[in-house]
Amino acid sequence: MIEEKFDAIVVGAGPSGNAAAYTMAKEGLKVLQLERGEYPGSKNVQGAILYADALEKIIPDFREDAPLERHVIEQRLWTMDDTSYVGMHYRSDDFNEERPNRYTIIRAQFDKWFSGKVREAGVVLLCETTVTELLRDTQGRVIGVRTDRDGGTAFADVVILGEGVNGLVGQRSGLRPELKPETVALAVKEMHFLPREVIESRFNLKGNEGAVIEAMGTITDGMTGTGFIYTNQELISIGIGCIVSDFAESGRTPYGLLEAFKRHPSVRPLLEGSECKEYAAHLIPEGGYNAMPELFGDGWIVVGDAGQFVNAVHREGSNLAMTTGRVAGETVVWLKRRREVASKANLAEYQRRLEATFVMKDLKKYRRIPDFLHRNKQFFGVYPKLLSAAAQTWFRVDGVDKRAKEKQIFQSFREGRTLPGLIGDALKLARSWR
Amino acid sequence: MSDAPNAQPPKPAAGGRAGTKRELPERFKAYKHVWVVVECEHGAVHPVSLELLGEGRKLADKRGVELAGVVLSGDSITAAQTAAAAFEHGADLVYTVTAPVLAHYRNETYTRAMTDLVNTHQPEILLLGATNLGRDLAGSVATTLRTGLTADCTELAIDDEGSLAATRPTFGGSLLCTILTLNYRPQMATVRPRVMAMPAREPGRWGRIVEHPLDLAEEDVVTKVLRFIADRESDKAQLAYADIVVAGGLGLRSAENFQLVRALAEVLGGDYGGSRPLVQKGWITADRQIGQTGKTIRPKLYIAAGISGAIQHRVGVEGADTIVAINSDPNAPIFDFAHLGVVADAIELLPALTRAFQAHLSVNRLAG
Amino acid sequence: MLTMGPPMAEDSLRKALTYGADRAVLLTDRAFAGSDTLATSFALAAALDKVGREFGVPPIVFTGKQTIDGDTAQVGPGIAKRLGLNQLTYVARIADLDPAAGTITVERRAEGGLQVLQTRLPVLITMLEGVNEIRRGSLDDAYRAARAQVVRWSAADAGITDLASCGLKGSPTIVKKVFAPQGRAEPVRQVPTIDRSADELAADVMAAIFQTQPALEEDLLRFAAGQ
Repeated sequence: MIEEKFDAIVVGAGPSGNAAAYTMAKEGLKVLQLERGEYPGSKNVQGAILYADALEKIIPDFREDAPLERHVIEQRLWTMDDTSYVGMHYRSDDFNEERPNRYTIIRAQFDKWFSGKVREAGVVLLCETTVTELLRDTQGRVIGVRTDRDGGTAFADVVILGEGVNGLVGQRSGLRPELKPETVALAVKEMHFLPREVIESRFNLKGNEGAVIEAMGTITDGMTGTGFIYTNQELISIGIGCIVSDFAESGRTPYGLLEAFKRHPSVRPLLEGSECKEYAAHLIPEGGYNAMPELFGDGWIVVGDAGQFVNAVHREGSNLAMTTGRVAGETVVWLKRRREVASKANLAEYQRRLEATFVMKDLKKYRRIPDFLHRNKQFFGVYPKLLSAAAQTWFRVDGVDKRAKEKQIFQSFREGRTLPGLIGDALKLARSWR
Repeated sequence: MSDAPNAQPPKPAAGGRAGTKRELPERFKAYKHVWVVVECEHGAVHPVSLELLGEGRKLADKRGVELAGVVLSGDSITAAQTAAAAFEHGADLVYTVTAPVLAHYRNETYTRAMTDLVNTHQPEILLLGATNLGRDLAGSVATTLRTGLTADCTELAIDDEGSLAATRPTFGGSLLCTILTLNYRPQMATVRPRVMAMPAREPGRWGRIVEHPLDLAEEDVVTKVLRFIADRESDKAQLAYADIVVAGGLGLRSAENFQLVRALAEVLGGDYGGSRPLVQKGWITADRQIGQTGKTIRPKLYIAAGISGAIQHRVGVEGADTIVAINSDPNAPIFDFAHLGVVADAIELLPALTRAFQAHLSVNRLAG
Repeated sequence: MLTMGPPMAEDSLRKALTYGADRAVLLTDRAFAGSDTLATSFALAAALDKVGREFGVPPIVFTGKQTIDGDTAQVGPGIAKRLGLNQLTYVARIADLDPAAGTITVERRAEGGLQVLQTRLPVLITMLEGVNEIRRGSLDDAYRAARAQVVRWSAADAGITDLASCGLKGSPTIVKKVFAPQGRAEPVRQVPTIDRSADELAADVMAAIFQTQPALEEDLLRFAAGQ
């Protein structure tokens, strides 16, 4: 039979691939989407926060039927040592707004819903279909893909690769290098079932309000990484992740860290009596701007995790994924309208458009952070301990006068990290943050 | 196929049918006594039938009725031998249907004989083993009689109103549910081998035999048995009857680590198995699965390594004399029903246990 | 392919279409909610009857052995009984099919061996899992599945008028209660693990096992001696 030809082929049915496919199909393009998992979302694991803004720009009325769990009204940042945490909590009734800003979601459900929208828009979605290689013409331009199914080639004007962090198509085709262990985090997560009322009373919530805890400190045992706790309607998801090369050096296991995190005296009461329903592990690209591969070429574009579009500092990923997918889709539509080919020169428009969004601006701003945190482990061990000891000294009422306590605290920081060390850390952090 | 019928959300008790027991229809009022189908294919009585007679005895006593065995067979010698076994394990009477067309199990012939017998002698409770024969027969008998059937029960009881309360796991094996058949008779249930304890045999115990005719000739039967290919002895998994069983779960984290389970089982001279996810992942074959949808075991010693202990698993192992649970999660449900618990990583502890038992057994053997 | 379930069961049917099926029918209606096996087989049998009228009578109907949850293994036999199909359950292999003679020969898993059975079409077969190789559809199959319309029938569409035989009303069994199992009355005895190496811990566990069941140690020694 005659091979079908599409306007675009999207590899992957995660947030980035779905955003790209949806955007193009809505504008009338003929789109084929290929997903290697059994169903959309089956390969996806994420802390499961949905950022409304990124999705609103794709599906403005998503709140009407998307499976949303709780909207986040409280954010807690914890630096932890073995027995305590020092926390910065922000809670606001302003987040109880008509169109809330962040939601907790269950990815399996959300991805299914998103994929339903994509299919309704007219995209041909094939699951359990793995792309094995990119097809090129004699000039090296990408013209389609080969899949692992019989008779499995498909052709298109452009291929959008939203295949996720360790997507092999781009790697095998030499579009981007293999992942480096120091730029990837391995995160593990568990979903713990608890009745809604219990979650609401433990986290001081009512209705569909939700709370989020991001934690760092001795829970990662000196490695670069963070932990998190999110509230769903009847589930608490708890996870922890560290840079892969750190795991290799320390010999610690992700499950070991998670077990210890769950046993922490500040965490254990939150999970008390819960039943673990699900366990998952996932890689997160955390190399940031400096680890970013080529984003486009003749006939191809990279979106989402495959392009290292993750803001590790702010724990944002799916919003970057959706935004890059949308912008890629819009670029292809724009070219189509102008009857221009998807050449490398023309697809440079994708990067130009991205530069104008928060995606590139944020990643550029934090470009030094991943490397900085990787080299400065004191932020994950020494400082949380010092901070915690200082807080304890300060709050314990034991007959010691306050001035002496102040001295004691300053002294502990000087001993813990030396004066030049403290100043150096402050300068380095400030420089990286800029 | 449709969603599991018995996995439906609980129907509301208040206002629902569960709360408003209607009067039993007149035509069912005469239904009395507890029946157990006693399987005797190839001349041997299936142990599950004897286990069910033990359970049926208790139900019959509670109801103040008789316990009957039902023997369908191809010849009178098998019928007599099976009836004798039924009496020795608690039956008050035995119904026999003996006909050449019943020599081998066929759905058509057995369903016919069974429904005929039920319609004539009218039992209130009918129990079958959840074997291939029992499940096949129970399904078509229940449909023919338009009555309720509860499969794979883990507990049978008589409730305050005299109904059979059949309990089985539900919701993917995370909860238990109790199911009633209120307005239909007989109340049917199947129970898997090894779930109920084997009753003590009382040699010489005897009862009445009621013969029931079957008017069915071979030429009237559509389905023919061409031959029977017996399994080789070595192919039969002995897991259900092993004295010591070591099993692994997802806590082993990789297929290679399952070897650690086999090594310990070997040193202990026991058999090995695993939880359902391991079968789904292809780490072990289905005949090694322990739990509700796999094998039920009643060993003297059961060691569960890295198994969380969902109900689906629990019901398959609860009959073990000693359950040792190894799990790194101190909150794992398996610690709710294990006798001995060890909060540890199975991957580290299993090889250490293998070494410990190996050393202990060889040292003491030399000493002895 | 025919299934009864909530609207989202369409995803499963679509997946099955990629394996090569030509048509999928979803029987979905609120009237079916709460069906037990008897009510399920009633509804599916009625729908199959309609399938026969609409698309031709199938000489063979396959059903699964059992759902992984209900386990009754009763729906298949129930359908066969209602439609008067010859019933072949726990089939491990189809040895022969002779459409001209209208016969089929199968190997059926029985206690202690395989029965070789021959019967007349039409039949209902419940197949054991794991005995067939899964046919992986081609890219064309996948396109066809992605674009196929799954046929949706309500109870009325399927020609079911006797709603008293459907759902809750048509189910002789009722769920009296659903409950979480109780822990053992005697709580688990935890072997202390703090500051114990794997080997020390193993020795503790072994000692604890033998303490719980002294006879087991003798059995094991006898077994070891016999080797």
